[in-house]
Amino acid sequence: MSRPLRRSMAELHTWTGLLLGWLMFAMFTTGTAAYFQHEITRWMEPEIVGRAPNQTVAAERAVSYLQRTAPGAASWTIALPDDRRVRTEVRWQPAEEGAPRETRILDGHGRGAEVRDTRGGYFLYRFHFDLHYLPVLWARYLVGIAAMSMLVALVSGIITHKKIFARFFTLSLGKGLRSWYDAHNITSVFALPFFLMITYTGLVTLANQYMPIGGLANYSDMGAYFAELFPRPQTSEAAGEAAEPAPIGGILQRARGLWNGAEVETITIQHPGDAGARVDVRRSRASTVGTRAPTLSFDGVTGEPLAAAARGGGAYAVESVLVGIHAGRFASVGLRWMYVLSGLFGVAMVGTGLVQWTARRRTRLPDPGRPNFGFWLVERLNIGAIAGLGAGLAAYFLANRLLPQGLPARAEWEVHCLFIVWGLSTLWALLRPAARAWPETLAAAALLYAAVPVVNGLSTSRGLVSSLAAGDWVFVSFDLVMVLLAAVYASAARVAARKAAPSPRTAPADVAGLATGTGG
Amino acid sequence: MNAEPLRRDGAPRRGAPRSGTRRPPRRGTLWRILAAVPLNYVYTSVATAFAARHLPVDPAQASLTATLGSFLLFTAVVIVAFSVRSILRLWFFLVATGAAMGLMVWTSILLEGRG
Repeated sequence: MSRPLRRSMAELHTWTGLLLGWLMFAMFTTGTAAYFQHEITRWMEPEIVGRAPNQTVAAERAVSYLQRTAPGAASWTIALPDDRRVRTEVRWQPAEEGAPRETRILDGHGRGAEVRDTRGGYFLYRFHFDLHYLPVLWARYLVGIAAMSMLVALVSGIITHKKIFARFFTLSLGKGLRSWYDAHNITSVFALPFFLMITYTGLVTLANQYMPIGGLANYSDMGAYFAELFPRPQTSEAAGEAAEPAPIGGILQRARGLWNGAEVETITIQHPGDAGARVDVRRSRASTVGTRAPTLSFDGVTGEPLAAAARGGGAYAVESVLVGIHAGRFASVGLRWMYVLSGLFGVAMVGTGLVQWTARRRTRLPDPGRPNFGFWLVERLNIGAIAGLGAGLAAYFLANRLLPQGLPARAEWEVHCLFIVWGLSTLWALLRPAARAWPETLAAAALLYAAVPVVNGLSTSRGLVSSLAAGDWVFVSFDLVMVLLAAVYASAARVAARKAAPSPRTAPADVAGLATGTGG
Repeated sequence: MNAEPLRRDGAPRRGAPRSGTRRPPRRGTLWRILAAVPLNYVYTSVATAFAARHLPVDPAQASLTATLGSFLLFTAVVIVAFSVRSILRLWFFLVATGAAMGLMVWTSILLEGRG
């Protein structure tokens, strides 16, 4: 390959990687955590214990709860528990014009559960494409630009390092610049197909926002386009007279029969208790790779299936699968961990790439003690993004256990805690010498993670010991992952502290160990 | 731009002069960036609309197919913009083919309308 092409691709890789690298780091981190969003939500709602024996019982209990609580509502929606979720969530739209939708969480017995106010793992899922404190539309454009930069960085990185697979076997760890270079290469090669897949399919999830002209070329507005592409179940009219509803258990059984036994995700009942009632049952997205799970509609009184809106088409099916493999809702435990592992490699790839940018330039600074503004900023933002986000996420979990139950806007305060700690870490990185700020913020993150299982054990009855005794593997795993993260951050802090300490071999400011030519 | 001089295998060259010898920025970098981002977005949009109008499947599927493909085209144009020797020729190519496709999309919408 010609040298100029290699060089221009290397530069393209460097600058597209750096430009929104910190945002990519945050997206990869929270997106990876979101593969366990339901498990995280379970940990963050420790009040919910036990579960309904199966979906039919859960649905029957939810319907009887709604019949008692919201008999005259315009519609009910029931999100059923499944393998990963223990809670049943019921929502209803009051019949009064303009009244806000109500939501309750039910426990396994179908009773309204007194659950602490939290956004749980769902927040991490939303943050990875909606961010926070920003209008959602802007945030999604920003995220799209980051994802597009990521795709270009991946392709240009592959062109630059076409021998990357061969070089994979000539690693040198612990040797300054070369080892950052190698660390970036290992993490990139290890899950390269995953990175290409996840970045492209991520763009696909919001494709119609980023490239609306595809739809607008054939339709006068996006609404008409979506109506044809993704037809929704029709709305029905209320008859105005009461009628005995068909038993929900029978409807679920018919739906499962038509789906070869697949589970149900949500049930929507329009005009419950009315002669014009209609039941829409949406198939679980855990049961297919594609994300556009089909919905079956039933007459709410006779329980007979209604004609379904036709939908489909080649592109529709492809898009559904592309979004599906991004979200990984179909993945069972083993594959889910593979998703998480690949995501962690992505976190490491972006992180090592960002650090490598400074490690490589440090050696060329005229005076390493007084770097130029660009270098200074990148170095500090790296600390804020990499160590600070870790600390912030730990603070999010701690806030879930420590904030008082009755606090107004409690769920929002949990989120504020994440950003307060993240912001403070970044501020600390800006004010301290970089070589000190690295070990200090990493150590702070380690302490916060170590505190999570302790605080969990002290503030709830579901600490590590009792979870082990109860065989509650979601809680056990959560606590153990916190311990593991604490260990990872602590050892990173130790390595950074050792590099920061003056030694006869390396100059004080030379974290990468290269200024005197001893590394590389 | 200031990437470190590279050996053929991409590793940093040892003993290369480390300071005081910044290469002058390559000529045309600004034109490459303008071609790779704003011009590319307009070009990819026009090409997406063109594909959405002309793919031989029903309109909704054609629109979606074109939209899914647009990100691959955008990526390819960025890579090309930073690979070609003559950025001027790339500008000429993008503007000419973009204008041709745009004209065809425009007349096709005028003649046949939209759904």
